[in-house]
Amino acid sequence: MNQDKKINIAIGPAPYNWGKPQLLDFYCRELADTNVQAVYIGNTICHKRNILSRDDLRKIVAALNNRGIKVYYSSLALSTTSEEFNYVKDVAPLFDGLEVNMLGFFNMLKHDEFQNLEIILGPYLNLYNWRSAAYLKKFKPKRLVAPFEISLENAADIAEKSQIPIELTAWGNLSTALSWRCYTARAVNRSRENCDNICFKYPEGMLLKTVEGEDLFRIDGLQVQSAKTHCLVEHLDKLKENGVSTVRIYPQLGHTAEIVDTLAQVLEGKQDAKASLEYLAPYAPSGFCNGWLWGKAGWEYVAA
Amino acid sequence: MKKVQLRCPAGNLPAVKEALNNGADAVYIGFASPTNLSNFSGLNLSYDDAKQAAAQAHELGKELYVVINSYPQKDELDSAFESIDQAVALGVDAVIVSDMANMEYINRHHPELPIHCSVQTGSANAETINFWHENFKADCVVLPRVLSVDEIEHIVKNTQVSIEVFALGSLCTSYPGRCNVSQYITGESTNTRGVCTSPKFLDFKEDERDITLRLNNIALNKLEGCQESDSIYECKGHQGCEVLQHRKDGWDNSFIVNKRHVCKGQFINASVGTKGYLMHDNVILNTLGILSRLIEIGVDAFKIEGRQRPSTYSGQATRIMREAIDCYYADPEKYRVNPAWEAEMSVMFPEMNSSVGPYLGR
Repeated sequence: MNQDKKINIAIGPAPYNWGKPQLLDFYCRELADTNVQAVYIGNTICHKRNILSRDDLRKIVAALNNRGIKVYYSSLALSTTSEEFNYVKDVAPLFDGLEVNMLGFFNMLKHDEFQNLEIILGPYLNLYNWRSAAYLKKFKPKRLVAPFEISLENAADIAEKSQIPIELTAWGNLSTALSWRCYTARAVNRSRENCDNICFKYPEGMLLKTVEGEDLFRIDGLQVQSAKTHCLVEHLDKLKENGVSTVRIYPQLGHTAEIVDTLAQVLEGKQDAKASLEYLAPYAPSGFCNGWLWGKAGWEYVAA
Repeated sequence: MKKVQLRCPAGNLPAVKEALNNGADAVYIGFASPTNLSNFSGLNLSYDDAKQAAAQAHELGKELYVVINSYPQKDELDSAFESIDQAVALGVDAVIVSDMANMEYINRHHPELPIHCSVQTGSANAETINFWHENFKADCVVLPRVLSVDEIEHIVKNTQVSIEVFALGSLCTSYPGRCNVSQYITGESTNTRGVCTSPKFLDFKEDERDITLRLNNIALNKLEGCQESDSIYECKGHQGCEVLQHRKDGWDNSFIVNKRHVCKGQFINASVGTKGYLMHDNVILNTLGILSRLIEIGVDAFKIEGRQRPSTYSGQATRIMREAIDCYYADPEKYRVNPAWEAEMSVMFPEMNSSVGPYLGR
């Protein structure tokens, strides 16, 4: 258990399709003065969005490493082609480690060039119990990112019994589904194969409302996200009590640094959690949710 | 030539009989518990019924599989393991599983029991399929309905694991095992409770014109009634009146229940200003037209979806697929889709169009 240790902050892989200048600006400038210990890079949703060159990636890793930040490559959650696998094989050695989001990537780790990578068990591996997590200890994982929908109670059980440190999502639009269909392309009458990276025009995704006008989902290409922002700022003490080692913040277009700073201040006891929630409200335009942490419907919000 | 197998669904004992009598090579069932993905009230088999199902299948030289494919959490591992022990006691020919803890348990305690990786494992490439084989000796993988035929062919060529594909039935747009939409709306999902959008969370409100469907207080759809006459009760029928025909002979609750899935809801895309069924088309998977191609690329088994459907469906769907498969092997060159099969399909799936889903492109 991690009860006595400091909780680290990690930046999850950027969602949507931000384009090269925006991604470089985010990693090399916006994160420059933030108090984070780990950054994940790579698009977990669509290979066509992997637009950074090897040189770009080297530059980002070097910039973040210079500030003592570990940088991990996040693999795709759904890969169906050799090209996609080969891309990960090609770029993974540039990083400190690899977040594995699909079991097939473990086969790649047999090769020498991947031996020194730190392994993170990603949230898409469907590790819902400690025995499944413990099975993967043979790959010497540094930590495990809990599946989005499991409760704190279950996450704590996995961490305690598998003895793998656990990372929980504390901020961001939650992944609620992946699909074989690109919903963004579909919305503009294009097929997934002939999308022309149209998602580039929607760097905050597409907002889906119910027929009654309530914000419900956000479309991110092949992914459907919650429109509401999952926020655990009021419950960081509970995470610590339950042995969580790292909290993950999913970046968003603008204000990620403020969000990181606020969570860091609360973690250090320098800022009141309730006041922080109010401060963060403008950065969650569809409101807050955190029901999954408590075994409830994900869209619900449980206050401290 | 090794003939492709036909594996068929059964949600109760009569459905097992229907599938076996109509040409199934194997029937798959679930126990009445949250251990499988169709954990609906009144569905699935008790241990005693499952015992009869196994006896019936084996008497005919056919196979019976048990589906144990939800993901057990903290306090649920023991009941998942008990279900595996029960399946072994029944003498089933394979279990269809998703969770690694279950696979490890099978390898340790029942090493002779064949493992079929459920569609819920989301195994969409040869590397992942080979992971299952190398780590858990998986014999077969049920591919998710996310792949093109060319991608399936690539998988078949790059693994020694037997490959099963969906041939007929519902066509979910989500990547199996990676859909938490139901959990987001209701707090229960296929992965966690074996149920997608449980009807117990469904509620609807009707006013003079429309019916609004809600799932755990979230509006999924507004079925619009008559806009030409005074009320839907007086409507003589016109294009766009979605509820009239289901209302005029009395309330048909199944109409509403079948529209409960979140992905089948009607939404507004605020970014481009459209409203409609933005995620899902009103279609079912029907591979009769590409059956030759699927056989020729080397898939080992066809799966019919639908344990939740009536027993008559198990019989009809099995018979259609059996006839189609036999027709192909009788003379591959002359294989054609029999219009009678399509006619029967349109009765089985009223108001739904046939689709090959992602098989021919996405």
